[in-house]
Amino acid sequence: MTTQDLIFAAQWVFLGYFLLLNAGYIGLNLVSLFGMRDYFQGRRIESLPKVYSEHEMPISIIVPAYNEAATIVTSVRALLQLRYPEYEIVVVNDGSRDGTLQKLIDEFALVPFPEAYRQRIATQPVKTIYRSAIHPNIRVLDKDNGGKADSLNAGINAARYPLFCGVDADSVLQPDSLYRVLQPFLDDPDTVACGGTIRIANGCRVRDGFIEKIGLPDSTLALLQIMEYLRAFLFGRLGWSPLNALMIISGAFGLFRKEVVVACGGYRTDTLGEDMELVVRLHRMLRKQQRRYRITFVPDPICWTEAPEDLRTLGRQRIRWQRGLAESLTLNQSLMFNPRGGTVGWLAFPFIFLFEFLGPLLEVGGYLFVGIAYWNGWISPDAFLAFLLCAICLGMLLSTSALMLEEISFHVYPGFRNTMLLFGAAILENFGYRQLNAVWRLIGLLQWLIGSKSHWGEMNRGARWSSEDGVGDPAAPAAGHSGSQ
Amino acid sequence: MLDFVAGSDRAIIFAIYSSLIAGSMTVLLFLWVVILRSRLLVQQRRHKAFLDQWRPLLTQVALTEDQTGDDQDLVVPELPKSSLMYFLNEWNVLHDVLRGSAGVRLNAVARRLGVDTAVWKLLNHGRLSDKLIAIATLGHLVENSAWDRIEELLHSHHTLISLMAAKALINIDADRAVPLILPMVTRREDWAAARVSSLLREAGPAATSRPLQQAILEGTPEEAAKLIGFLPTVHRSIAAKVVHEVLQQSVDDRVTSVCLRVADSPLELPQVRHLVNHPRWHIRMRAASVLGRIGYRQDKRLLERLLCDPEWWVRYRAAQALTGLPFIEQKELDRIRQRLDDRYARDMMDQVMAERAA
Repeated sequence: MTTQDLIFAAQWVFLGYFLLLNAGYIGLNLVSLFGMRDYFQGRRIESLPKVYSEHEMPISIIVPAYNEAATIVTSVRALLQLRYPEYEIVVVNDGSRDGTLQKLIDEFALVPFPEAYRQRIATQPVKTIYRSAIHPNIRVLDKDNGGKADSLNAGINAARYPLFCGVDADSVLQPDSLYRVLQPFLDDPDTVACGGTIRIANGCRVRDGFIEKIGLPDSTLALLQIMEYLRAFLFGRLGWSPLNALMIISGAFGLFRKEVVVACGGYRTDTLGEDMELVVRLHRMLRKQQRRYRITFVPDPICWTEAPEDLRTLGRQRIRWQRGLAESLTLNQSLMFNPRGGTVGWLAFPFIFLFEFLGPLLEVGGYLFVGIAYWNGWISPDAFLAFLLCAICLGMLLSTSALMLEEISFHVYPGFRNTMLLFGAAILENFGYRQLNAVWRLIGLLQWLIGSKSHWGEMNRGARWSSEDGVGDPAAPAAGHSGSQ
Repeated sequence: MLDFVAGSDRAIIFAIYSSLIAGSMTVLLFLWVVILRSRLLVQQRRHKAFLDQWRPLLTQVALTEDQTGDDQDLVVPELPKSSLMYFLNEWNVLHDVLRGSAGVRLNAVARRLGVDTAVWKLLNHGRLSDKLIAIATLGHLVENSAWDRIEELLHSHHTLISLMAAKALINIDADRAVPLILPMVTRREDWAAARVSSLLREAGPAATSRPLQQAILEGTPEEAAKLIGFLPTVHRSIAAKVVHEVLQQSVDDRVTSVCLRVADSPLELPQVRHLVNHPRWHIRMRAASVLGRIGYRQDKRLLERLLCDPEWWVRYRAAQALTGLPFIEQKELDRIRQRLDDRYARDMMDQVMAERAA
């Protein structure tokens, strides 16, 4: 085989990969379109007012908190205002060093409580359990540091109710978020987990822990991430949900059937992507048991989270996400092409393995190949431009189709100007941002390959919702183990 | 057009064509987004204008003293065809919020506007969402002439249409509708319990009690297990009677468990005392809860025994039941706590007593 033959073959491999990737996502987009249509028709019956029935199952909200002193009080106050008939809030203080626990004790009049805590999932020792003297539905577990997954497991051990909802301490929820995410559990008793759309709160006005006014951020980096989230949630997840092949529910907000999660062993503490790993493991185990189940998704924007506005933090986040994805897939690799794997084992898992797990390798490889081949004169300038143009145009098509889905569904961002800005972002992200993302993800993949130790970095967040005016000081750092994908 | 790549290999031509197709589709999608946004802005303006004009009027109609709805002085503007859906949405929402004579007056306005005939067109030729709102409207209008058509839709394979039809039939004639709906409840896996519960509540205990009693007592164990959960929607005396009869005969654990959830008559005590020894923990747990609700002094011993149960939930419910008994005082609870040998039972008593104190 000559060099020319190799170059010829490589051209087709990379071109074929890009086309296949985009065709796959456009296919998901179409499934989302139908899913969205059914969902909105379903909402017609719910648009008429209805009283809460006794069938709404009570929910335990679990809030893992590590060094969240800046935001924790506002977050818990906001959780207290959720519209739902019966729920409890279990805050798990994961050995914070910044006075998180003291803030909670002062604000909610916590008193130590002699609880018959049962450790169904092994965790770091729980030192004290507190209960609020003012709000009987607030409990706080003070435990040794063990990470987010360990905190969630401790919260599950302490949870009283059949459903639990893991919430990041810095998440901003819609007041009816619990009610929305519960609907699939009411409609289908086989539902074991449900996630919702996470939106970016940068640019929005947040007051007392709730979104007061929706807007787009000034930061270009945050704006680009908004487009990215639209793509990820509106067809990345909504597309898989009707096929019962959803492989991730964001750790920022997700509702689970407690007994099923306990039977699966809870969250794994040795992975960075504990949210995705749990969902993939649920699929694997329930498929193995040949149980009827549904893991589903509601497209409503039910949770808002702050996106990093500096490249360093964003890069760390994306590296972590890719490592989490790699760990989640490899730990459950027996699901892929398993005879009992169903749609998730035969379609979603291979799709995500090929396009998300190997994606960065092939994407960066493709760009490098075209660049090097052009530099060395192996391909003509025409070919170089043609391949680059193809990658960019397909990227723009995907982003614009996400924008279209947003426009026919929730059109969350008001006004014509915001639509134009989002379209601008859909175009702009293909000139550098996507490529940079691919590089970060490749680093994540390489770090996973060489097996460097998993740990959660600290997130720089503005702690916006804790300030009086709801705008906050972007320079004020807040740390935590949130930042879920 | 592709002169500049003449002589290039097929991969390049393929890449360029793909780019052109993707680029053109991007432009088309963008134009569609612009059209959708422009349409949305127009709709929002139109909706606002509709609400400004019609909301005060409909509120006035709903709150007026006239009981018949024949207020001839009321000036009702013409309803443009383009505003029909806005009107139907607003009108149906008001119907669900308001009760009594307000509904009669809202119906009179709708009839004066010709809505009763317009919705037939939506029902027969509209999209799914149009059909749903048409069914809801005919129900609220108590349109007896629509009964047969809506009964047909009750058997639709589409979940939402069948549920909306059930709701409309209840609105038209609850006594006639419930016996038609109950057999569907047991058959249709796609009817969520929460929605059925809302339907039966809307029908009211007078219409629901007898048919539900009959369906439970004459149904198979599977049907009974499904229907017993709706007993809280019927008259208490009937619910108690049904629970008593089913508990005496039940050989199915699911049925027993659901019965215990709603049992609150002392008539059940002998059976419940027997069930605290049941091999399944969820039945022991429910039996403990029932003893907490209706138990006598002599049941303290049974609850103390359940405090040592291997299952956490049974211990928890037993402790809650014990501490909640109306005739038991704190000193006695302390004594019970002291004589417990089992550490887990003591921990549970500590927790529940602290919960009560808090």
